[in-house]
Amino acid sequence: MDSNDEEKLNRLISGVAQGCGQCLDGIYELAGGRMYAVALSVAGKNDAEDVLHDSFIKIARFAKKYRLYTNPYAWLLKIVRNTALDYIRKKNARAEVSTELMFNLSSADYSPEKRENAVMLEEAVKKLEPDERQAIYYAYYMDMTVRETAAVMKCGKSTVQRTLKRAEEKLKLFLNGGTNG
Amino acid sequence: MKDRKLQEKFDGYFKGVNPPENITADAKKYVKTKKPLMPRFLRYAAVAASIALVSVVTVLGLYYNLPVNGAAPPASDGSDAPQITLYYDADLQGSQCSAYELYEKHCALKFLQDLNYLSYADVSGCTVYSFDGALTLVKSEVTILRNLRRSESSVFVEFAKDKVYYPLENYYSGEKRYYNGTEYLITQTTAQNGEPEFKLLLNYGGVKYYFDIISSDPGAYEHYLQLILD
Repeated sequence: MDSNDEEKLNRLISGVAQGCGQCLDGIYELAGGRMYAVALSVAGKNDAEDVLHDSFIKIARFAKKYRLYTNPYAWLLKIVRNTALDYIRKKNARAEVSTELMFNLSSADYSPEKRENAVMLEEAVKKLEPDERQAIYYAYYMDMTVRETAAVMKCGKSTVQRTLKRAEEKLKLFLNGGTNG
Repeated sequence: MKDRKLQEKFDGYFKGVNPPENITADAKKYVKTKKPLMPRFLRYAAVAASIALVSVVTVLGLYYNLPVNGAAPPASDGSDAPQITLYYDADLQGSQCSAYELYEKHCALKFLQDLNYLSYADVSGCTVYSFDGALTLVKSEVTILRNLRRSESSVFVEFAKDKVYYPLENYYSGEKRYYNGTEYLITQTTAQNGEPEFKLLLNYGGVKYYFDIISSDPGAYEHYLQLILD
């Protein structure tokens, strides 16, 4: 993740807190794709747009509660994820998020010129074990720390670190194999 | 520590997503511009004037025995029974409203809109009623799942000063209690499902709040008092 982008996002969120409506457009320009990806991964295509819409209302309302120079991506994506979870729980209290749906962006709203790489990454992720896929999702999709991931996955930090390391090794192997052959 | 090359792959993956357009337009309405502060001497003058005004109103209120806050208007005949003029469904024009737009209707509805943002609460079925074109009553359903207990509530916020919506008349016969010095009326019964049911009436800031709460949590109604009064 580009540290310049993080710096810009920090400034934009701070701008929203001080009353700058246009800063929301800046946030969307920088992080919209990633936010939409999270909304799609949790709520599905039908609700992703509504989730994003409601998430931005929350961002506008709660920007002043954001602690500057923490992780802006993690803050934004947590809002999107929680909003999406609320959406699916409203529809079905027992609904659960399926890890199968998390890496399926290239089949939907995707730039054609970048689709080939995306498909390759998705294929590689699909070869992982479910717990490895989850660890990758929380670390790379949601930008969560090991401690946050451990809390969500209900396991120890060392387990997360081991799972993540294993998943990363496998992914690199799959991706290099895919590139070479 | 994440793998840098993988991080780049994922960044590229997310940058390829085409998000929908025109997502932030509504959110901009919620961005509040900070008002510039007044010069210090003006602020002191404003505070002094406010204190003087509150003192005068309080003295006049005590002298003429006017209600400032409290649950029910006193009866003109001096009895404890409140004198209530009722209005009915036929008097009202209703329209559905999003829970996210409640604050735009009236600032007294902020607690409901804020509730809807909380992960443990859900506000639905919001309907805004007007009487002769004036905002009179807002009704909504609230579900709260808190401390492993669930509460289902019908919430009415009434802006009519001198009259009461007819199904809410029985709230005025509740027991008088106080929360942080503010009076409210409470009635406890048992709902059809066997759970305790509380009917709470709070008259605060010229607005009447009615809550019909069904919950096994005996403190469920206090949560609403906190939301409005704290």
